[in-house]
Amino acid sequence: MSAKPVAGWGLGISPAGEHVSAGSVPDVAIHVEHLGKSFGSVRAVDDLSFTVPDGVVTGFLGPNGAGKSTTMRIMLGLDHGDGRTVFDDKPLRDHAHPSRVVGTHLDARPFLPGRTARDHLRMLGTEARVPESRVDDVLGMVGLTEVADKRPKTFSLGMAQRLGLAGAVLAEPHALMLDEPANGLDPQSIQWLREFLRHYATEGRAVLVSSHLLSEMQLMADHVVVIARGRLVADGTVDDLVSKRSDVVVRCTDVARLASQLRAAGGAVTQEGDCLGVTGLTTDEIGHLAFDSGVAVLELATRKASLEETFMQLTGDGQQFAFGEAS
Amino acid sequence: MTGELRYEWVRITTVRSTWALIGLAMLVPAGLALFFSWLAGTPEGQAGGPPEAQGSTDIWVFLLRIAAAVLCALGAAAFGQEYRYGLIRITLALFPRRTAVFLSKALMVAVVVTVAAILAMGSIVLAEALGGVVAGTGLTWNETIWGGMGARSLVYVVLFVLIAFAITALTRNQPLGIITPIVLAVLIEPIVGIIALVRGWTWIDWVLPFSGGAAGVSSDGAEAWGHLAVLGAWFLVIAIPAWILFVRRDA
Repeated sequence: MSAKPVAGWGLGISPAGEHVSAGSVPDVAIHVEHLGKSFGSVRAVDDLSFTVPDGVVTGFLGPNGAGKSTTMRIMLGLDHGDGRTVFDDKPLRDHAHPSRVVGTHLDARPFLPGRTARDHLRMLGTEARVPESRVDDVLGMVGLTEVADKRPKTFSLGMAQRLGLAGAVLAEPHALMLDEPANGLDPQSIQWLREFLRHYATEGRAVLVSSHLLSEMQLMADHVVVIARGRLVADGTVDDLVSKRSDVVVRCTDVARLASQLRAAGGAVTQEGDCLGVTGLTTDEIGHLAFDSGVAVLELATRKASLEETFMQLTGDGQQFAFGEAS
Repeated sequence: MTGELRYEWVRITTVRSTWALIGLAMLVPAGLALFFSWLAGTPEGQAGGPPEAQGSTDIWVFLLRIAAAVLCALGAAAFGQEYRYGLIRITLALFPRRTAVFLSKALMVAVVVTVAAILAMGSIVLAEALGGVVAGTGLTWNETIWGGMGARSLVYVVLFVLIAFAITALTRNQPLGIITPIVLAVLIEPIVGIIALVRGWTWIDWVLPFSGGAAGVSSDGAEAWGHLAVLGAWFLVIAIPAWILFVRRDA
């Protein structure tokens, strides 16, 4: 799938069924309140509350078995559990046209192998009375026009993901919930997906995306919700989360003396060979303290944590099904 | 519930298997009807056999049962395909009101099977007439179905298929939904029927769903409809727990 312009996303469908500009779509955010669910003695989701705001892409992160997919299913009412989820201040079932409120893509191959891609989308479009022309538009958007009348039993995983995404956006819902949509996509398709979702969000819509591709999520998401063992461990902007785990690296001529000065000034210091890793102090403060201590600074740099490093620190021992030690 | 019904209509009409099954439900019984009619029209056929009316009704019920058995796959697919391919999560995200989804599926299966059954019955009558022509006895139309028997035949086929629908909804297992009614109708109930005959259990047709349903097609008046009501009650016995579970369990 080549990167394609995302222009045309201004076309929406009004409650009466006609095309309208995206600007008329009401503000909707998803509010998740105290979700919980147990499978036997295992508490898969535990008192989980967060908000998926409009206008940004929200990444939903967690180790395998953390409860991401279960949470998404409870949010949509597919699985039963504690708590509640509201879309525009109402549970999904209370909306007249749920497919205009939230579009979902939860499974990699959510279609009948013997039904053509076009008919699959026609079927999904019945809820919101989506016109046939919209089906063609969406198929073109995801690059499946040539195979629109083919049965998807021979589709690759990437093509299946694109068909799933086409189904999710068909009725131009105000919110999207996508579970691992980048699985099976090639790099160009991932780039297209990233641009598409960011554009979708900038039109004032809410986008919730779960993914294991953390480097990709760092580029795609503005806001992340991180869970481990069914519990919320972080909820905030990517920049905030990452900056809290960034530190300053100092290479100097007298590591011991500078370390004691930095600790005295309130910094948290770890020694890494002939370098120090410092949090709690800025580069300016560290530079002045080194000067005052008479220690020559050879290198002074902010070391920004990646989302992956932040994720590992946050989830730590929260992996439900951890690997054994590599032998 | 109109959205759910539109969804079901597109779901059921956009898979080739629907049309293939309707075609099979017409062709297989019609082929057999043609053969039986030809056989009955030959000199050997005219010399022996059961009393004409009884034989004709038994053959009619047998052919209906074949049509119903073929159409069971349509009933089972309503839930079976969705659970097998994970479509049920898409369906319930689009239509969170599960009772409406359940009713729409049952209703659309009933409508499509009614049409298929009418086509199958028409093809049987046509084939029966053609069989007579081939055998040289001339064109004779079976007119016994233009009345109560035709209506009861429709009800029998629809309820037969709806039981396949309900079993699949209950178990979420499409093969089980297809096989169970067929095995009950063609194997288990005939065995029980023979035992009942030996033991003198004359009430057995008021208990067994498919034998009772067949008796409903071949008998007359209130008794016939009573037998079909038993078949309908069996459908409800399976469908009500299936509906309760569908509403309560995770998708």
